[in-house]
Amino acid sequence: MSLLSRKISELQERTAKAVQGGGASAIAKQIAMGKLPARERINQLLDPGSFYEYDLFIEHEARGFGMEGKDLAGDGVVIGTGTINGKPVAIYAQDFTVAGGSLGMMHARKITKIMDYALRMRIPLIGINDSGGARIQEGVNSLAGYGEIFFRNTMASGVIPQLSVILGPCAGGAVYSPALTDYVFVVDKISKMFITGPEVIKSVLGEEIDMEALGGARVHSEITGNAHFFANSEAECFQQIKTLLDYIPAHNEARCEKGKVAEPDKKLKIDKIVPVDPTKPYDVRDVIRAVTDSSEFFEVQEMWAANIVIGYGRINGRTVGFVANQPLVLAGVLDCDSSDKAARFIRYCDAFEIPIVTLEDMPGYLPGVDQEHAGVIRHGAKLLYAYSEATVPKVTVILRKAYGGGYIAMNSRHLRADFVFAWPTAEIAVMGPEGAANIIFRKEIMEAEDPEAMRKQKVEEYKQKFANPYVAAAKGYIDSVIEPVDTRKFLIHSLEVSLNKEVKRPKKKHGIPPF
Amino acid sequence: MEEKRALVEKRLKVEEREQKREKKLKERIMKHEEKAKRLEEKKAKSLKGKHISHTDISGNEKNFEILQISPDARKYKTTYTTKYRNRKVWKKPDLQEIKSVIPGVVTSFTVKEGDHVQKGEELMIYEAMKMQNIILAPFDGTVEKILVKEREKLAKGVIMIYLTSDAKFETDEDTTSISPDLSE
Repeated sequence: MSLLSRKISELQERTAKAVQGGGASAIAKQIAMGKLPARERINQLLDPGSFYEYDLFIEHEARGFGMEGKDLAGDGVVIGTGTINGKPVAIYAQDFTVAGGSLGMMHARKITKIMDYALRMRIPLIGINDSGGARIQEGVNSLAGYGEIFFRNTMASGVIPQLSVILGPCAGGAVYSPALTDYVFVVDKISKMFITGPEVIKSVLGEEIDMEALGGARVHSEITGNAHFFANSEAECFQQIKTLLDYIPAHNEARCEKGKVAEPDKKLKIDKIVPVDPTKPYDVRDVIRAVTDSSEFFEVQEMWAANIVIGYGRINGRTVGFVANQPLVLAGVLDCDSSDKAARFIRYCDAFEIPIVTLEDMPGYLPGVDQEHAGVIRHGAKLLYAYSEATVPKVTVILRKAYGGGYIAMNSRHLRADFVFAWPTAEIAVMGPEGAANIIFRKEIMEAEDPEAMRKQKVEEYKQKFANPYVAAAKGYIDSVIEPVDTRKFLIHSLEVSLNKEVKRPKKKHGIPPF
Repeated sequence: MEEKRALVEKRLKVEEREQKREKKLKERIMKHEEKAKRLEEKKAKSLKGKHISHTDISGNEKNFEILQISPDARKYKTTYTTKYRNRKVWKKPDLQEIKSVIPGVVTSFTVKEGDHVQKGEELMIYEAMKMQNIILAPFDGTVEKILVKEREKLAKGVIMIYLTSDAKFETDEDTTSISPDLSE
């Protein structure tokens, strides 16, 4: 055997040992938990054969506590680059089979290395989290590692897309990295996220709760809003990642590529979806599908604050971010959670130059002590801030109700919408006709011979005069009153003409949004 | 004198008439309100039982609920979120209930039931987040009842001591923030 082939066989031996991770039995355990091993996850997510791994031979830094002699393959994390649908991405995947995927100094250094690559090359970063948390034996070094990750998450925010995939436990400080990233993917029964786990809660509070009920995938998708995409299996989750990356650009100065243009499904009759009676519900996602290419709509945070719908679709081949009130849920009101949800999405679209289309049909803000005390003023203000701040093309279509503060908040002309269109069914007013008439004509109604008849008459009077789009049109607050069937046409044209939109803003370091 | 009497009588008559008119008006308003209430009840009933045929494009029938955004206004047919359904109805807090503001463990009591304390006096020691917190009396009062034991682990918001104030406290019994229309 020549010297060269001996060297090569040594490399092959070392590689073969390192890619084994925690060994066959640990991998079997991982699979028994319903989870895939780290490298298998990467292979399934990336284009076949496109993955290149780095830092395979990293050695851990743990001194003392019996850790010196231990061999931790790759220090419990796999990093590298590859492609998804032919587009380059940087990826890291924590390997639970190696010391429970615990984060030590070198583990963190590998992650920060790939983060630095991603930011320098301006490609999306995908992090697969499956870790027991900080490696206690490494003490403050492990905390330092987390800090370095969080700092980079923040620096990369708004420059490259950062996707966090929670495929196992992600607890304590570790969970702040996903929280700092743009999109969090969770899988039912596999993902677990919390700051303090069930054991701590039990010993401190005596409250007994299991991991799933405390911070499972469903909890974060429905109640907390920490997760953006919910999947039933890892395979479904990887598909969601691929779809998302197809919609969003690789970095903040890239534009989404123009795809093939396809007409929406002819079966979705846009003029038949929305009932004229403003008290009747319908699914606003049908309206979105009636205007998007191939009637495709990729919803973000489907289960949380469902009274507002956000997500991506394409209009004439280009990606558009949709924000739409959902009359099907809570009558489509704005509240703390829905404002929060929409505002963050608007900021994402603005950061990555994705035009925003707003479909408006909402009766106002949700009344209630719980809302007021939860800070609906602050949360509601986020929506105003996000819309005002955004400089991407912004188009609003008012389908039915646009009342009061909600009218202003939902990308009105006054917050610098580029185009505002209204359907003939639109009611743009300070409040609903019934409420308004009761206040304005209180005296007349009370003193009338037949107050109920008078009330009806006054409500009708108000409806005729104000509950329509023409008062707003008369002032130029809306640009056109359009027929529902022409909505797609108007959207295509308005987005086309605002393609080179430029906005100058006063110089500042950054604003102070109502966080 | 007679002139004066006549004037007084006249004024009395006017007042009487006004009172009558007011009474009538009030009755009318009451009638109106009752009628409106009945109407709303009827409407709510009729709304409940109905299905909307053209709502769901895929033909799924849903049970809708009612949401009203402002008084006397439209009632929207919609669905509730789990969070909305589980929201807590706000109650005026009884400040005489000394509650744990943070999870922790009762270390010891400085007072016993029946003791009278003055504002600022120590009531108990409560360990939370590794701190021995001294709980002070927020006002002058009598320790009516001690509801927890020493060494007991408590969650947030548990009533530890009931301190009856010397000065009368306003307590609300059944204020609910949600109007009957909304809670149905």
